[in-house]
Amino acid sequence: MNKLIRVVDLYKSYYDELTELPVLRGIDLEVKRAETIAIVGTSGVGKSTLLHLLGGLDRPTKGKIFYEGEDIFALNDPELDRFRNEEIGFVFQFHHLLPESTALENVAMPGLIARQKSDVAQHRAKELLDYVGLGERLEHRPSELSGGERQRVAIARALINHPKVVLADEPTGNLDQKTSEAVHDLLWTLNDQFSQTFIIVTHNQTLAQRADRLIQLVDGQVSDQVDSLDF
Amino acid sequence: MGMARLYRTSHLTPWLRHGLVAILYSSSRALMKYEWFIASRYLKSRRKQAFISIISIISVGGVALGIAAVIIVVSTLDGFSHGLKEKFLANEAHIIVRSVHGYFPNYQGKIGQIEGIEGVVAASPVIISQLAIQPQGSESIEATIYIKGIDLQQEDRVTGFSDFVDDFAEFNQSRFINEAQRRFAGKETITGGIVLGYHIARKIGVVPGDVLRLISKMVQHPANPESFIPLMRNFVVVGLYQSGFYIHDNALGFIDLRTAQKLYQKPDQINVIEVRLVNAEMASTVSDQIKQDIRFNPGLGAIPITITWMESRADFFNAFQLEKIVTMVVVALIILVAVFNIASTLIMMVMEKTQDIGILRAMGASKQGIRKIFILQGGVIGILGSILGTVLGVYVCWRLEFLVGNFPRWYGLLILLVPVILQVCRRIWPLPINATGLFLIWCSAVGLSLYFIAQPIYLDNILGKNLSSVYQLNRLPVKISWTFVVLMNLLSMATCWLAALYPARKASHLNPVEALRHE
Ligand SMILES: Nc1ncnc2c1ncn2[C@@H]1O[C@H](COP(=O)(O)OP(=O)(O)OP(=O)(O)O)[C@@H](O)[C@H]1O
Ligand SMILES: [Mg+2]
Repeated sequence: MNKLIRVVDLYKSYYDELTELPVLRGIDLEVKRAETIAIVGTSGVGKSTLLHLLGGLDRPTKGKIFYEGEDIFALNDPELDRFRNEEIGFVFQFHHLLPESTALENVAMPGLIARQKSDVAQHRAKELLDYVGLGERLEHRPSELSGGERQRVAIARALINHPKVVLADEPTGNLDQKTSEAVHDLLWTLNDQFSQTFIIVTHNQTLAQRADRLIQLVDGQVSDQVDSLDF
Repeated sequence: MGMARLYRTSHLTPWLRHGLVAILYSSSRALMKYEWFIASRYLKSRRKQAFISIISIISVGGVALGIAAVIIVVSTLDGFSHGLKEKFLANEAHIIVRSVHGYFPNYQGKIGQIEGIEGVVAASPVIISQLAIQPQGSESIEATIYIKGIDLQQEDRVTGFSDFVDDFAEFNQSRFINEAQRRFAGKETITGGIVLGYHIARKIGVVPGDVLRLISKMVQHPANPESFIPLMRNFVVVGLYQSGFYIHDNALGFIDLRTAQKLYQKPDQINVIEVRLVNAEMASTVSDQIKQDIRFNPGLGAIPITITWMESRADFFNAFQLEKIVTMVVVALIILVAVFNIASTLIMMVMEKTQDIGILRAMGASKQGIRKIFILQGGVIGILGSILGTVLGVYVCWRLEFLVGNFPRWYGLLILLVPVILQVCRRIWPLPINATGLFLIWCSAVGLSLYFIAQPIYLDNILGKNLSSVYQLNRLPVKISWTFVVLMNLLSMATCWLAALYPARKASHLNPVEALRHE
């Protein structure tokens, strides 16, 4: 049984005063372990919203998400925080690193949140930064790093607690072609070497093509057939 | 280039930030909880957030100034009231014993009885009454004063009377009396000597050697029983009494007890017993004991009336109490401002760091964790501010109390120029001083500056007025109450913590998704 995630009939609406804005309208989805999934769709269709729900960062209007059979929205808030900390790694479009902290501290942060000892977390953070090729830049702050380097730091940070899945929201949306390619290579290496599961929201065609599976969102639902990639 | 850098506010206080952070940083390293880590990072934050870190320094300074102000002001007020108390306790009776009947006989027995009570140093017999005085040569009554008839030996043990009169040995044996007798050549009789309060003497213009008429009461005219004439007695001023308390020196005259008894025709009677205690604070206990032990003639009003110094000085203490309350209110306002400062600093910090909060939540930080980050910042500001303020306040108080060397105060400003000049030079030439060095130089300069500025305040020239004779204190005494200092520290730390509650709550309740989207 290598089914990792099961999304069942997921709805998410935003409300303001009187009007309801339905964004996700009945998403059904399954993700296998060690799979790489690309989520595509037009802007505003709800890709980020889906990713946030998958990461337990928000609660749905209706529907369930199971991780290895466990309903994550049945968890209370502290449990959900813990789940996010231990099982999920986030990578965002605009890196979202803490500007005051060094690369090393940024990567170690989820470890500290998990109440690991500082030297344990930093040791692993160092290994990961070495792995993503930033072993020489440990003490640099985000503002002293290039866009591609920041994104590598963000990926290293996502991995530090050995998450079940890494959720990446347009990880190369802000990078040039060549840098993007390098970051993609990194993701694929991680997938190959460590069987890391990835769910990647992207507008990048080559990245989407390389994924094991391509999921297209249309009108808040998973489209049946993924036709031409004109997103 | 040099000038341009000079004006960049974000670089104005790197050393101060450095000092603040050194403490925070070491504690964050020690605990290494991520809340500490983030809180310390926010407080020290550089570059773009330099503004925030400057306002957190201002917050610390606000708390520190509030605490320092309250310590200095209250210690000075306490010291002043304490000093005054010491002074008047030195020349006033601690307890006054009276009878409802006014005069009473057999007083030496009662004095012996009172002196037998534990805690009593001495008791002395006194006749107090109000008399009009008329200097010789004047046709009108110049003043009405209280005349105390005292037994010199006994009075000295209670109020130290003789210590406050220059060149004086005895009421009725003085060269002034002899001289006056020679002048009168038997035309008028001299009843005795009088020691007059310094200020009253000045007011009516008499000096030692002058003769005063004391007018006690109207008596029937020996020839014409229908009319009354005042009973007058001549007294020679044999000394001036200067206790330093205006109310005493402007209202009292002293004559010998036996002369007074003759004057009022109350042989072997007095109307007041004055009591001095080992410990003035025991006044009410001893006064209760006196009421229990001493009985005047049996029957109604046998129980003595006692008045302790606390009761007779109630107005004085009330005034100080009031002053203290007003000061406290002002200081409370200062601290309130500091607290608002902290609250607004933290609210701004929450707004500035919204995205970071989203990131931390995405990485699994709990609401409580986020709350803690901001509470910690409030706490750190409160603790640092309180410690800094206490050190500052106690240091200034210490300087005010103990004079070590006497320097002009403007030295203090001169000293401050050293780091300022250094700071400016650093912008222009590369000096081998790092931030820590500069921080230490600033600290010592401020310390030295205060050393010169905060010197004992002498009362002989306050805005051109000589207050030292009014209060008999040559300088403003300072008295630190450590209980009060500790209490103020706890209070300020608690209020800083309270000030952080709302921003912290706001931060923890941010929706993580919206926080992440926040630009
Ligand atoms: N807090 C909110 N309140 C109201 N509407 C919201 C809120 N958050 C998102 N939306 C709306 O939900 C829709 C989906 O947003 P989402 O960010 O998931 O889109 P997306 O597919 O990620 O788009 P993009 O490719 O541009 O990132 C959008 O129309 C957006 O305006
Ligand atoms: Mg999006």
